[in-house]
Amino acid sequence: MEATIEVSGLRKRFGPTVALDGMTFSVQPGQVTGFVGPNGAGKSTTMRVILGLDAPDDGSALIGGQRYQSLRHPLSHVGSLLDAAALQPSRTARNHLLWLAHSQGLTARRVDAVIEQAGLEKAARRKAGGYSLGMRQRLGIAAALLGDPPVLMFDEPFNGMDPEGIVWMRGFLRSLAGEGRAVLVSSHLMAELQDSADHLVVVGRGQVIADTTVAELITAASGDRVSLRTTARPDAMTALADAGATIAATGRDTLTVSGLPAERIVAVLSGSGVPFSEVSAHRATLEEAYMELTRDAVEFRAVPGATAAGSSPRGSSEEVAK
Amino acid sequence: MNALRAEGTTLREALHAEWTKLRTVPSTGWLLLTLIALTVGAGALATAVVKCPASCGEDTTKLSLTGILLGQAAVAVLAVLVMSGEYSNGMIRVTLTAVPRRVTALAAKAIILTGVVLAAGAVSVLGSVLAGRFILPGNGFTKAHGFLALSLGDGPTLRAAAGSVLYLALIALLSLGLATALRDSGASIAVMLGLLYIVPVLSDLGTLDPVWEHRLQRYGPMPAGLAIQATRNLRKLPIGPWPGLGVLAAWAAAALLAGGLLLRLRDA
Amino acid sequence: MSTGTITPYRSGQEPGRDDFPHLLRAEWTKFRTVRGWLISLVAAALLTALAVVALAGVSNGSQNAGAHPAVAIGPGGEAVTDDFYFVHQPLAGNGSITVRVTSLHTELPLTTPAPHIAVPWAKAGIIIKASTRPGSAYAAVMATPAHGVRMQYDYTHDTAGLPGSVSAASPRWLRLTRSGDTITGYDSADGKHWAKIGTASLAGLPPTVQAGLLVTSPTLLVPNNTLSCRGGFCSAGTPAQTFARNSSDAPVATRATAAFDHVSLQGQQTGGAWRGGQIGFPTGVAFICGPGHSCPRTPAGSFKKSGGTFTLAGSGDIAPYVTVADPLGTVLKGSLVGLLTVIALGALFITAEYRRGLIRTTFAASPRRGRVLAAKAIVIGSVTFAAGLAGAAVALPIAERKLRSGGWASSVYPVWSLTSSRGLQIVVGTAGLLAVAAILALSAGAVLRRSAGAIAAVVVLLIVPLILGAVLPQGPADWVLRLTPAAAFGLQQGTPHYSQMTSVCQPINSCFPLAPWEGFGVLCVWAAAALGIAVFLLRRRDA
Repeated sequence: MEATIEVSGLRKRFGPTVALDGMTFSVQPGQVTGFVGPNGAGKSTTMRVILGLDAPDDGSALIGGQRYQSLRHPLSHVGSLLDAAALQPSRTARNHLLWLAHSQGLTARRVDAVIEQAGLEKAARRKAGGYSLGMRQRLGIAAALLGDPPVLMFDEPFNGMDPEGIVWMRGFLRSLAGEGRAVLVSSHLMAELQDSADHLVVVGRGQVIADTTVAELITAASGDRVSLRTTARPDAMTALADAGATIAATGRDTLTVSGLPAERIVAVLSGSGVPFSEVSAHRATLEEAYMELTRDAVEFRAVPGATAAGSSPRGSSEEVAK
Repeated sequence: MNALRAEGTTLREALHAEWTKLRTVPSTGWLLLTLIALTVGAGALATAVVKCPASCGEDTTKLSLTGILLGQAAVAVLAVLVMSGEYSNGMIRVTLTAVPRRVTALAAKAIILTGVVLAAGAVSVLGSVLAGRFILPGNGFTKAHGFLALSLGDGPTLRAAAGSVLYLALIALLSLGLATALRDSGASIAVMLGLLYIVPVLSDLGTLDPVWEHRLQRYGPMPAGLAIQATRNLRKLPIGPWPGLGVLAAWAAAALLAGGLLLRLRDA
Repeated sequence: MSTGTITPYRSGQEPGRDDFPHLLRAEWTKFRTVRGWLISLVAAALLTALAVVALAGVSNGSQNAGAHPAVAIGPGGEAVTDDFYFVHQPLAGNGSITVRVTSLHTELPLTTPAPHIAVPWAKAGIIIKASTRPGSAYAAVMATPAHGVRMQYDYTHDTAGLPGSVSAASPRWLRLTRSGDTITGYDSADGKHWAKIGTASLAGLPPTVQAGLLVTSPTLLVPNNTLSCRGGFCSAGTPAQTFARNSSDAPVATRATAAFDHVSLQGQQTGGAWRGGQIGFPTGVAFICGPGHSCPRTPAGSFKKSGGTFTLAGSGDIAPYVTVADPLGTVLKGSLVGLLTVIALGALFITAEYRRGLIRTTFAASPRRGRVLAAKAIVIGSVTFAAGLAGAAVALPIAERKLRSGGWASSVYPVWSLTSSRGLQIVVGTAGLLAVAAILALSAGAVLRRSAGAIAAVVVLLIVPLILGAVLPQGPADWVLRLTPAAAFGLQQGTPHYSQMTSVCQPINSCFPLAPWEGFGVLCVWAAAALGIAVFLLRRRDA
């Protein structure tokens, strides 16, 4: 069986709400695929459909070419973590993994192995109800690894993790992919995936907006823009606009210029006697690229003006760039 | 400095909050509908199957209010969920953050619940009495056999009907108090229904020491409370109508007191 | 990036093939690893035992001390009533007796003339009886007012013959033949075409037996104030079933009068003269016949012969002795406490998973949801069965001892040891009741997904009918107890009930309209239907 997830043409409505609107993508082995999009874009619903928990109105989701429901011991094919809080609080972590193992015909030895893998040895015999969110995430990951599956799916695994945990998680995802597994990781924060994902599926309003590698996405988002640092911003803007460029002020003394190559900009500014200290090709961050893509797909957007200026979608790109 | 509010949360605001909470949960409407349907339906069915002269000894008012026996289960579920529903999803912490005076929070819940149950209970009881009024004469409960049509103008019938509405409200308060003390919805409903339904079965076995039977009939919340429905042979009842309802009120008060005390003393 | 060189990962964990046992094991692990559930299970067993024993402790039979003088002991050792007016002759060896019954009239012997009252199980017919000692073996063919011709033998056996009532226009011919220990009963509408009703094998029947005519009419239980007489006809309501049973059912003695002709006794006759006399309880003596009930005086029987016509009048009954009270059956209602606990446990076994979304983990691990629910049902059914079995098995012997010392006479209230078939039925039945109720609750939990609603729904279906059965009049109450899962409580019946006699059958006496295992079947049908709906919804709904 091949370690892939193939999702094609998924559609689903919940009453008047369209949750999935022709969702189509595939996840390949040996890499971490980031599954990103704003809240409500259909990420969790897609994962639930893949796991046979929700029935799609149309379309199909296959694991290595098979429907999830037809898998005999599904946890040996796909491991997943959807909701770390889905526990019975009075059961210990080890016993939670134990029943799950028994449902697949696995033994207690395997349970102890995944407890060690997830770094839960010390807490395994405590009631899961007393766990912090980060520990619950680790328990959920242990559960996902139980069947040693070639396909893994994590819904927002960074939620509630401390910085140390986030670093551990990134390395962990990379090592799983390094073993040849297909790993699908959803997130609504692109920054979390910056250093761990190889491939990205960007979704919004139940559809795939972009299905690309991280490198391609950043190149595409960077475009032919040039960053410029100058103390005489108004003069620079006037001179460059006269030369036919499009200019955006991105800071007190920085501008982003598009429509003119860097050499032309240097020539124009020098010719007009405008001082400048730095000219460089603009390289977009993943976050910027993502914002660019999903701007129209955000379902729940704060009303402009109601929030502080620094947290508006346009402004935040600058903060990340620093 | 908060421009929106000058003083702390008052009972009025807590009441408003509880009312909004209760009416925006879909289960409230379903449970109240269940209460009305079970009460009126079972009452109508009970009056429809009893015929005079075969059973002319029946207390027709009580018979037409038989549905309360079933309807009260819906009231108990509603009341338990008002409190333990919040414990099961952690909302109780939000509630107690918004209304830090816990007794005020409980009082607000109790008042809103009572109001809602009184309203739906009145509809149920009126429906049952109306059904009895239409059905009973057709089954031989006529003037010829000494029966007048059921009417709230009749003193004992009015007392039985109004008392049944009060009975439902007291059942709600007893359940609320119990759920506040026990917190878990499964445990609360099981204990509540056991108290309601098992005691009368045991009190009516016929083989127990009569002293024990008498005690269970006088002090069990349901046998005592439902004495309010009797309109015939009052002297033979183990406990009078109003004293019976008083016993139930004492149960409700004790449960609320215990619940309130535990709510104050325990961490949320 | 080097996707081209990646070797796809293969799981190192490929378990065995058979997966339903895995599911069962997983569900069992789930159950045993929640300490609260284990405690509840033990509590269910303990509460069942404690409540039954406590009820037995406050059970009071002293009011019945020495209260059953009319009881005879039948051939099977059971308590029986054997009171009737008998016109008989000895019959030596094989032979037969034939009569024609031309009328059967029942009355209330209060005034002269006595007003008519319906007595469905009054009897007029012929009997071959081992001796005139009450309780001796017999076989009889009899006409009844409301149940047609019946062949009955040894008190507990009953077979129906020709239907319809007796009148001069529509008489009934009856015949009994003896051949060794075997007695065969026949009936006929015209004396020419005979139909066999059945045969009775009475082991140890003496060479010479008593054969003859009998008339008897059982005592009626009449609710207070419901006896009304008008124009020579009386009627009474069905026994009262009020909540607080302050209105007592008054026993009223009745008398039957029947006319016979074409009387013929064939065989080696030793006597020749017909002698009439009362069998069993002497006439005109008042006695107590149940807790709180003072039985009426038995009216005098009589016998007149004019020409070929015999006219007999008599009172009493030939039937098993059935007590109004069922002390063991009623104290077993203590198991309701354990029942409520397992209902809560059954519902929580699935609603706890819905509460925090654990059900998604379960269904992701085992996508075939019907099998998951089946595994849950088997696990919760088994553990609650074990708890019920333990609770009832511990409670029964202790309750039995306490009832004895509480004044319940053992000649009338038989001793049920754990090894007797009825004792076993009570213990296994209680366990089965708990197990199937837990499965019903599990199904309700899967349908409603909320514990409070599921528990309340099952309690309303299973326990409330017991109360309704006591509040409603007999007819509708019987239907409630036939159709609802509460029918299964008949399993806890401590005293057998017979259809061939009018007895006060109320749930509070642990008497149910359906036979015990039929009633259990009703509960099982409910549980199966609920399980089916639950599987259908689980498959259809998003998890």
